[in-house]
Amino acid sequence: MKLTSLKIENFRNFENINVDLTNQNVIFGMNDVGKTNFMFALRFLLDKEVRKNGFKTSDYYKNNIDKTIKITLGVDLSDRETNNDSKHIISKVGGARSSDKLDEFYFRVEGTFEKSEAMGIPKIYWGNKFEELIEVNQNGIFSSLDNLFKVVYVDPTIDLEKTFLKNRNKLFDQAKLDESDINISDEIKQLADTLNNKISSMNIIQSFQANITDEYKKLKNENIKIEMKSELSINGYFGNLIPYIKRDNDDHIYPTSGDGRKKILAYSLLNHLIQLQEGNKIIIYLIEEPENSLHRSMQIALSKQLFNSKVYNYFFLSTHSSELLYEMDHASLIRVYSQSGTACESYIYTVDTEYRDVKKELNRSLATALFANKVLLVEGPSEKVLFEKILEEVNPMYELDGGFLLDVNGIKFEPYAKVLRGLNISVIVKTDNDLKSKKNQPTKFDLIGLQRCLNLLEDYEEISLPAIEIDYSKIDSEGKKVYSEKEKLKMVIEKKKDIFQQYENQIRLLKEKNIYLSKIDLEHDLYEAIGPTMQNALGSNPIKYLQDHKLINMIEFTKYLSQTDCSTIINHPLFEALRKLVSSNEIEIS
Amino acid sequence: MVKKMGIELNKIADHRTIAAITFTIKATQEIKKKAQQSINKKIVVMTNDSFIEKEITRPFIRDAFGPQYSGEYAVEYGNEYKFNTSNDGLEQLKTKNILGSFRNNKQNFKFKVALAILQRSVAAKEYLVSKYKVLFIDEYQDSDQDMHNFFMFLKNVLCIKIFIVGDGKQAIYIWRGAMSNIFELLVKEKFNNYELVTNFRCHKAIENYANLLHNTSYFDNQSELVDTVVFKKYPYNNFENLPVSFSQLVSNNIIDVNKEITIISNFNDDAKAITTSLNEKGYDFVFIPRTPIDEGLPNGYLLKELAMFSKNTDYTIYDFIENIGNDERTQTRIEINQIISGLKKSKNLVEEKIKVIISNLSSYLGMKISIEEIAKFCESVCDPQYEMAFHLSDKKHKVMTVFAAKGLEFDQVISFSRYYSIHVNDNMQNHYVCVTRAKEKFVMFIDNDRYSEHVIRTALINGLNEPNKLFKKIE
Repeated sequence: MKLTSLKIENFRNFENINVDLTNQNVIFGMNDVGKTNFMFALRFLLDKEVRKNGFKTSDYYKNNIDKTIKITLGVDLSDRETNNDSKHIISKVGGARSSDKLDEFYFRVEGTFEKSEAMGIPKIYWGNKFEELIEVNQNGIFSSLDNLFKVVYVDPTIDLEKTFLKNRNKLFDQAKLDESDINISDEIKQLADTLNNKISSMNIIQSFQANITDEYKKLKNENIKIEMKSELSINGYFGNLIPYIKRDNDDHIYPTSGDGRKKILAYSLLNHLIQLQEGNKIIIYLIEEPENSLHRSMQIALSKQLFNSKVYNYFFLSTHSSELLYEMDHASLIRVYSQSGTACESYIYTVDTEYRDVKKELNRSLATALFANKVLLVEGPSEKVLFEKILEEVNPMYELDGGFLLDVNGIKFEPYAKVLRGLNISVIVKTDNDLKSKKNQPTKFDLIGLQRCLNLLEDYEEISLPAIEIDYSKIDSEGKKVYSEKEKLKMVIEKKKDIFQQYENQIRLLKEKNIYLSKIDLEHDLYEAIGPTMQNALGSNPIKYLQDHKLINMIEFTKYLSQTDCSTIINHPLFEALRKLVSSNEIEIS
Repeated sequence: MVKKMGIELNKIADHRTIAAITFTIKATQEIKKKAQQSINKKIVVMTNDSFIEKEITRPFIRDAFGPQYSGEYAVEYGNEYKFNTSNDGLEQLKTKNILGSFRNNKQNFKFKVALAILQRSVAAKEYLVSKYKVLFIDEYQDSDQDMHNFFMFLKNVLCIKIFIVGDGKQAIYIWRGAMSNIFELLVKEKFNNYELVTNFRCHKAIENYANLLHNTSYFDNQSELVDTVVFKKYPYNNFENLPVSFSQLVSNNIIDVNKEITIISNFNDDAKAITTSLNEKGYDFVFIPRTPIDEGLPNGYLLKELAMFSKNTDYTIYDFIENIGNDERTQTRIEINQIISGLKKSKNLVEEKIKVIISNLSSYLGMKISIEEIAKFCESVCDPQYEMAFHLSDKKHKVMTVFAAKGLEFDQVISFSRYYSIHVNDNMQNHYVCVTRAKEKFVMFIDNDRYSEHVIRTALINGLNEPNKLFKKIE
């Protein structure tokens, strides 16, 4: 079974959203935008304990009880030949499937408000045609759907002690003792009696017992005697057990102190319990912000557990932590955000095969950007260092406002742009106007910088730019044709300026779509903006200096930059990309 | 079979289950009861009719035949809804939303439709395959050709494991299409075949006697004298001198009056005559008549319980609810009681009133009871001749027909050879059922020499020339 879609209508802060799902779903967004409500939508559908309370007025979008709440989960059953969960669904829904649409199936809860009941009574529907779902018989609040799914809601405040205490009887079921356990159990009971006899024989205990019995009789004259007993023999020895941690090759035991370890243990406990009781139900985990009180390294470990282990076949994870996303692949990213009412976008994120090897790297930089509203993609670390400095001076709060600067470490903007745009996060790109000579044709150059920008345009026909000729050969004194590197550099720079002129219209279109091409490259653009400052700081050839040891020299240079310099740069036409990142107006996005 | 069900169920690690499919509601209840003791997972136990209706026909008819059909059809057995061809039957189902039956009662429309649906609907196939690991089918000897085709489709095309039990000798529904050669057909189906040769009910010599005449290959040519099978000479055509003959059996310690005695006759009238003549001489036999609602009606079981409710003061609404297997919520009980309590004052029962009550009950329970069935119910409860059938009887001595005795067992059984023309290979099933009802003693009143001659001849053919090693003969 694959989860494919969730449509939420008229429920809490969702007027009407439809998101794509996979079996691993990550929900993120600012606080109070509705992540928990998103989870609640699923719980109303799949958890009878939540459903039994009915839909209250406040569960209706803007309290509009005239409209019906509908929450519809779509699944794909095309793996039914091999997948047991798909078979399980088929075996329970019977005639609700028809032969013309065997791969799809939908589960829905509807709540039409009933004034007499002062609530919406949830009704369950299912079927393989979205428009013609069939009502499922309910016995009270229980429906056949509840035989199929089990929702495990993992609270952010999951508490080891409570989880353990609540389930201790289930974990150590006395009825499951085998013969040798029963023998041992009898021995323990004898030991407990011995222990209690020893305790009562102590003088200090005896005199206390005598005194307290006297005191009691003064208040109420009854034929009784007060005795002190160890709980071991009263509540049974299982009642005393608590988990400790014992390291390999270390004889000491350690309390499970520390919230992080406790939390991981609580998760393990929960998984164990669910395996014990639910047998064949399809278990869907709803895990809310598990990162709370987990150290970063624990979060990374948990990420591995979530995305790679067999335990969590189907889950919805809400999080603010990028670390939890390091291992994601083929996950549905669900961004809940506020934009005149609550909106929701989902993007099924799959790591392309060409990035498999760098999955973690890609995810690491991408994951942080996911929590922003607006992301400026730059080529490398020197851009990042420079831009960070400028923003720090001119607009230090940009990250709080949802801005984010992402270094793509190269020129592969596309995978980032695709995911971010898919989630309705504004993408701004700043890249160099690169030219690249063709193989074996030293004087033929491709316009790779501009081409890269054009490729980032969505919904436009692919434009393929023709190569250009830059003949930097010279006839030397002996009448021979020679190629001069110095001449090449000079001519390439001139050509870039020409291109910037010649493709003016395309570049304007690109700007409208937040894609900014440098006139030449970062260093030249910077020189145009604050040439004198650069010369003062770096000598007569500052561009060459910066380009020679890109990162180190740029870090050094940023120390020279004053607030005025930064202000000059950000207001220069060639650095409009930065202005876009900090402008308060929402950017029109493609 | 229930034990095997438990074993198969324990082997299943996924969501799938097993179903036990029976021929009668009574058998369903028996299996449920037995399963309760040994099986703690949820299983499906249904009659074959409700199995196909609930699992195939109602849910998937639209998928297979198109939206003009509805799963909410009514089932009618009345003559006006009978037809000759499948096409007519389907047309009626489509236009009138009524599922009727063939005029030729050897053809089974319900099962033909179910098979056709399975052949057309991928969804239906996937449903059954996803849900069931093994199907257990009880009393397979009562299946007709269409049922057989259906079950073999499940096995051969859907590859669902099938476990069949049955006894070819017990097929007493041949008159309505059950096939006498069904187990021969099964041989071709490549089942693993196990023959159960020990009858756990009967004394060994009684079983051996039955085997000689019905399962010759298991006949044991043994050398001990037999006193549990008795031929009692009875040279009368009616039931003259029956008490005398019976008293002889008692005084010779052949029949023990402190244990169960059941006399099996083939007709209600004979059974009555036997009862009267014995009771006139101080015996205490009770005649358990076969009522019109015992004639294998679709809702026969429900009607029987309803009749018990009506006629028997000790039989309460609680018994009714429990026996019809309805949910036992107070509200249901009260509502059903309101509907049917009118039947309790049995003195002034009139047909019109009964009709109203039954139609209210059937709509409350969401089932269809035909006019024909209601008429048979009225006859059963209004005609005093059937009175005894509805009284729970602790009495040890009974007289009943072979049909009523099916599935039951008694310490001592007495019957009359006139009912069994086994020498011409007739009444074979009835004879087998009759003999094998007896746990400790079987007495045949020989009022017809052809019977005993046939038995002795058959014994000779099988190498037994001393009849007293087969039965004890009494003058």
